[in-house]
Amino acid sequence: MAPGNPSRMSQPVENRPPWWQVMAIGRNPRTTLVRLAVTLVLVLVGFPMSIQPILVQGISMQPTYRDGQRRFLNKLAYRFAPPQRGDVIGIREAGKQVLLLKRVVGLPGESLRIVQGTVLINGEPLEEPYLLPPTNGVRNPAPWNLQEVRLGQDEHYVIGDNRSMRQTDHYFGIVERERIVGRLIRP
Amino acid sequence: MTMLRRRIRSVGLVALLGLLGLGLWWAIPTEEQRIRRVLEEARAAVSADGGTGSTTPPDGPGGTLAMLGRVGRLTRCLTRDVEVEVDVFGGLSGHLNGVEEVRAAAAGLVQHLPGLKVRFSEVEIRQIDPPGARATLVATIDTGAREGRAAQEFELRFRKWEGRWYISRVATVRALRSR
Repeated sequence: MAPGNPSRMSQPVENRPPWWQVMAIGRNPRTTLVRLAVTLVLVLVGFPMSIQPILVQGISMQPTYRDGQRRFLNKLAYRFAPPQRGDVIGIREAGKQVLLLKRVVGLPGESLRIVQGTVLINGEPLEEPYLLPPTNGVRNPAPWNLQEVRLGQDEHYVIGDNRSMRQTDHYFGIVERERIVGRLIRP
Repeated sequence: MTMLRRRIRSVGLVALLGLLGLGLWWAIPTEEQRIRRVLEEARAAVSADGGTGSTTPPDGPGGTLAMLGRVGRLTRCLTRDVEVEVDVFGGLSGHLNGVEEVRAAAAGLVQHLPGLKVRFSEVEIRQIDPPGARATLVATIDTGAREGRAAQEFELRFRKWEGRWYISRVATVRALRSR
């Protein structure tokens, strides 16, 4: 080091971006771009693959779900586990957009029948706390009856929660596993 | 120089053959494309927005002649022994046997629902094994009335006869069955 030429420590230059730039695109635009791309992929690919928004129409799931309510369906729910009794599921009715919302009451291999509004699974009455409470001691204003049905290996039995409507007006029955889209995410 | 010319010629020949192959691929439709064309013909015949053919009938696009034309175009897509089975929960149900029954039903439908619009989506053509094939599709039906819009899944069967595909069976698909 030559005399008279004292060494100078180089000072770190403070090159901070202006606050509005930090607010808009962050401190590092490249990182922000990567984050944005990941978020976009998650929203555009991940969301439609796992969640489906639905609009409840009709009265068959009353009193649990009412006409006009908006809910979400978890499409990954049955990827690794089969549907369980009591699950509220979305069933493909016509294409991917028109779905039925029903509750699973019968599982594959079981036998099911309905006697005066009570669902019997393998001869045992099914507890259904989601139905309307009894009024004046009458459990179901419109008691339903159904002859015994034995479910196959890929079949589930589904019914709506509104058992006060006439049996002939209520769309229920056996659904094949491949038609089940997912489970309703509870509010 | 001669070598270069030869190379250019052979590359040009290969490109020309490639273009020719591509053209043939476009010009000669596959069996699936042929079936899709029949489906589109049937849809256009039933739907009010499907056009009335190459010429406008003298009594206008909504007149009796136009209606007969649409029904005629539909029946040209069907086999003589076509079967139609409809079973919609809380809606229509019935069975039609033969092209004459379908013709009569279609005429009634077109007459009563002049604004009927039909759109097909999620068309899946499976088991193409001439002379037979199967397809499933979702038909969105708009009658033109308020709340007159519905979607219904259908299963169709096709039969090939003298190089052309015809619809031999149409049935509604129900998501839930009693047994």
